[in-house]
Amino acid sequence: MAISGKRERRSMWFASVPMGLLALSCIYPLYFALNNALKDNRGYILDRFGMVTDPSFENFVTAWSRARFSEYFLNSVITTGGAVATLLLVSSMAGFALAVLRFPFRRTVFVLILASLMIPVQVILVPFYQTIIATGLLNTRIGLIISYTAFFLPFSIYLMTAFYAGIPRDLTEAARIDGARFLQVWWYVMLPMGKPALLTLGILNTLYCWNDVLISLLVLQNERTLMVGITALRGEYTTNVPLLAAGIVLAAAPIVVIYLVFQRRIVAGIAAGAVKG
Amino acid sequence: MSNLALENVHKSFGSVDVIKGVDLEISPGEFVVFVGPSGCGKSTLLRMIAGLEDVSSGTISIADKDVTSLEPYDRGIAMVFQSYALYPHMTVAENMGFALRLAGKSKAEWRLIVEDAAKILQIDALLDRKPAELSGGQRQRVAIGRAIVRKPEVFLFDEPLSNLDAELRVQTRIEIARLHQTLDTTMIYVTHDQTEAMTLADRIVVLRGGKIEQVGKPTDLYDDPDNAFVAGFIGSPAMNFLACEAVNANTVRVEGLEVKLPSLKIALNLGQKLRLGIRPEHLNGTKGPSLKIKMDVVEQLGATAFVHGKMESGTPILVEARASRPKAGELIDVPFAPEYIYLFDGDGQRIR
Amino acid sequence: MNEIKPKNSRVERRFAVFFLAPALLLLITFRLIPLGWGFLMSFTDADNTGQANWVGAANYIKAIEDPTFQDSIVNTLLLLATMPIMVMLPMLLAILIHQGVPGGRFFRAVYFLPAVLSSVIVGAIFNIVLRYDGSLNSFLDSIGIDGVDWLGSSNTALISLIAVQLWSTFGMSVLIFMAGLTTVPDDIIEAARIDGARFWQRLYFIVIPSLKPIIEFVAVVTTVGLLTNMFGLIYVLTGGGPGTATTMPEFLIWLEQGKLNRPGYAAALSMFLFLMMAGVAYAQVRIMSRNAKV
Repeated sequence: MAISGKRERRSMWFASVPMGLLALSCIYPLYFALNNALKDNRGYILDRFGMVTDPSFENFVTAWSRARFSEYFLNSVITTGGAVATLLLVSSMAGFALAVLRFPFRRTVFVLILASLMIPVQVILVPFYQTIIATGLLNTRIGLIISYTAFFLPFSIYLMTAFYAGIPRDLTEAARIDGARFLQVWWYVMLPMGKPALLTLGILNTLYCWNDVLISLLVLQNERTLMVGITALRGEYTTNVPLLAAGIVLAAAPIVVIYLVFQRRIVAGIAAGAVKG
Repeated sequence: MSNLALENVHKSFGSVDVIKGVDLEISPGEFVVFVGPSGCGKSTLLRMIAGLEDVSSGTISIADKDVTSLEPYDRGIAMVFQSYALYPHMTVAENMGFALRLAGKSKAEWRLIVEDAAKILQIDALLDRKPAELSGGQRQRVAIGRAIVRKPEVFLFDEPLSNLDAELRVQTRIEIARLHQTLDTTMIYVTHDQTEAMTLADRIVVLRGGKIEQVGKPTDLYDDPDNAFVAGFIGSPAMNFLACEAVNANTVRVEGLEVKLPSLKIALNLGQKLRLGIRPEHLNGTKGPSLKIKMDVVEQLGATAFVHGKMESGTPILVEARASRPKAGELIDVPFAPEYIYLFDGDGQRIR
Repeated sequence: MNEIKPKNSRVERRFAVFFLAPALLLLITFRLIPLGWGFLMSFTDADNTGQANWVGAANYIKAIEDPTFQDSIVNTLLLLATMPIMVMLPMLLAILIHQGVPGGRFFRAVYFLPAVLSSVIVGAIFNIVLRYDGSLNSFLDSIGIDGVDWLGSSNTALISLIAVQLWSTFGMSVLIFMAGLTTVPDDIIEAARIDGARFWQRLYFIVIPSLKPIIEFVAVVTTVGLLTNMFGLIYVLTGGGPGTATTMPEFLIWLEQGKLNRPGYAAALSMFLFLMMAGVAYAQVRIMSRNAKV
C-alpha cells in the first residue's frame, strides 16, 4: 500500500528496533520456560537466567509421571475435545435455525443469546456451582464438557448465525424445491458450505477450553485438567523451578503447535469478526 | 383440463396487500410470461406457485390437484433462479442429481438421468466440474438442467436472463424457446423485459400493483390492448399518448387536427376528454392526417431512426423514421393512418 | 382475512424448535437461571452447607464497607485507568506494521503468541521471572542493579500485574487494528498526501478518525477482558497479594465463595461486577448504534 514515501519508509527502520525488542520479549518467556525445564534444580539455582549447560529431559519425565501430568493431559484432551465437538454441533444447529428458518420470537431468542455473552463466569460463580451440584454433574468430565459448552455457546452461535446468514437464500430454496427437508438442507448444503467457519470456530473454542482454569477448578474437584495442574504444581513444588517449567512447556506445547500450524486461519477469523463487529 | 389454475389468490405481508385477487388458468404445454414493472408482484406470484411464499387466501392447483398448502417438492414444480442457486461445493452432476439423490435413487440411476439431460443442454463435458469453474451461460444451463431432471409438471423461471450480458441473453433466450419446443412442458417465466415476453410467450400476463391488467397472446396485446397501461408497456419504444377531445360521435380533435375514427363501435359524447395513443412506428405513413413536429434529438440507428420532437402545443412525441435521414431542428409533417389510433378514457380504459 | 396456515410454516417452526432446543436448554440452565438465582442469593447469608436466611440488603452494605472490597474496586479503577495505553499501543504498532515497517509480518505473528497462552501459564512463567529470587533480579544483579521485589512489594505488584496483562493481550488488539486498517480507503490518504500532509498529520487527521469504530471496539473488548479475564493471572502470579494489592473483584468473588465460605456475600459481590459489565454492555450498544448510523 503506497501510503508512505521512500523517505518516510527509511525512517521506519528506527521503529524496527523497539518493535523487534518487543517481539523478542514475546518469545522470550517460552524460550525461558523451555530452557529452564532442561536444567536440573541445582543448575537453575546456580544460574537463573543463563543458557542450560547440560540439558536433560528428566524434569519432563517427572512432571509426566510423579506430578501426574499424564492424567491432567488426558483430562484436558477429553474435556476440550468433547466440548469442542459439542459446541460445533449445537452452534451450527442453532445458527441454522436463527439465520435461515422463520419462526415467531426469532429476534428475541437471538438477543437473548447475545445477552448471555455478557454474563461472565464470575458473576454466576456461586449459583452455577450450586446448579452443577444439583444436576449431579460435579466432579464429572461430562459435567465439565457441558459447562464449557454452556459458556462458549453464545459466541459460537453468534459466529455461525452470521455465517449462515451470509449464504444466499436462493440455495436453501433451490434445495427445498429439489425435495430436501430442513434437516437435509442443513446436512447436505449448510454444513459442507460452513466448513471454513467451523474450522475457525473449532480452533478458537479449543483455545478457550484448553486454557480455561476457573470453570475446571469449580467443576472438576477430585481430578484436574492441565491448567489446574499447573496451579497445583506451583503450590506443591514452589522451590523446584525447572520442574514447574517442564509442566508449563507440556501444557503450552499443544496450543503453540496449533497456533503455528493454523496461524493464518486464526488471523483471518479474528479479522473477519472484528470488521463485522 | 388445465395444468395450472389460480383462483382468487390474495397475498399480504402484514397490512400491505401485494397480490389483490388473481385468477388465471394455464393449459398444459403453454409458455406463459408474467411481465410488469418492479413491485407489481410478478416474482411474488411465481414464488407462491412454487410454494416458497404462503398464500393469504385463494387456491392454487397444479394438474387439477389443490397444492395451496403443499410443500414445494410435493407440487411437481421445478424452478430456475435468477442467481442460478447452484450448490458451490457440489459438481455439476451432483447439482443436477441432488433431487434424485434425495428421492432415494442410487448413484448409477441418477447419474444416467443426469447425463441424458446434460446432453440436451450440451453441458455433458462439464459434468465433473464445480460451478465456480463455469461461465455465466454454462451455469445458467446447469440450473436449467437441474430443473429438467425432475420432470416437473410446471417449469418456473425467475428472471433467468437478468445476470447475463446482452449477447448471451439473446442466445439463451433462443435456447429456452427451443427447450420449450422439445419438452412441451408448461412453463411460467417472470421478466421485466417486454422483449423477452413478446418473443417467448404463448400468452403474456401483464401485472401491475398486484392485479392482472390483461392476459393474451403477444400479438393481441400489441394490436388490441385493454387499457393505457398495457398499451404503453407492450411495444418498444413505448406508445405516444396525446390529449384529445371528442368533437362528435366518431371524431376527435387532437393538436388542432380533426380525425375521424371509422372503426369506433361506441359513440363518443361531445366534449369528452380522452387520451389518444399512437405508436412511434405508425407515425410514418404516406397519406392521411398529419402532425407538424419540430425535431429535437435524433437517435440514428442506421436502419431506422428515433426522432424525439415537439408539437406546436409543446407536447413531446416520438416518431420512428424508417426511410428518411432526419436532422435535428427541422420541421416535418408526419402523416398517419387513423386505423392505428387507440382511444382511452380518463381512467385509462380502452374505448373501442 | 382468513389466513391459511399451510404445512410449510408449521413444519418450519417445529423444526426450528428442535434445532434450537439443545442450545437454549444449556444456556437457560447454566447461565440464565443461575443469574436469577444469584440475584436472589445475594440477599441471603448462605454458606456452603446449604443454610440460608434472608438478610435483605445486608450483604450489599457489608460489601460497601468491606475494606478488601474497597481495595479491589480501587485496584480496578487503577487498572481501567491504564486502558488507554492498552488501546493506543497496539494501534500504533498496527499502523507501523501496516505501513511496512521492516519485519512487520514476523512481528505480527509473534505479538499474538502471548494471547494464545492461558493466563495460568503466563502467570506461572512471570511468577518465576519476577519473584524476588527470580530470574529478572538475577539478571539485574549481574549488571550491577539491585533487584526489586516486584511481586512482593505493594508498590510494584499492581504495576507488574498490569504489565503482564498488557503483554499477554496486546497482540490480539494489534490483529484487530490491522483488520480495521484495511477498511481505511487508500484514496483519501493519497489525497491527503497530495494536499501536503506529512506522515504524522495523515495519521492524526485521517487514519485515526477513520479507525474510530475499531478503537471503540477494542476499548470495549479490552475492558471486558480486564474485568473478567484476569482470574488465572492473579491466582498464579500474586494470589491477590501482597495483602490486597492485586485483588480484583473477580478474584475476590472466588475467594469468598470457596475459601471463605460465604457464597451469599460472594453473590452480592457478583452483582456489583454484573453492574460493571452491564455498564460496559450499555456503552457498547450505544457505540454500535451510533456507528451503524454512520
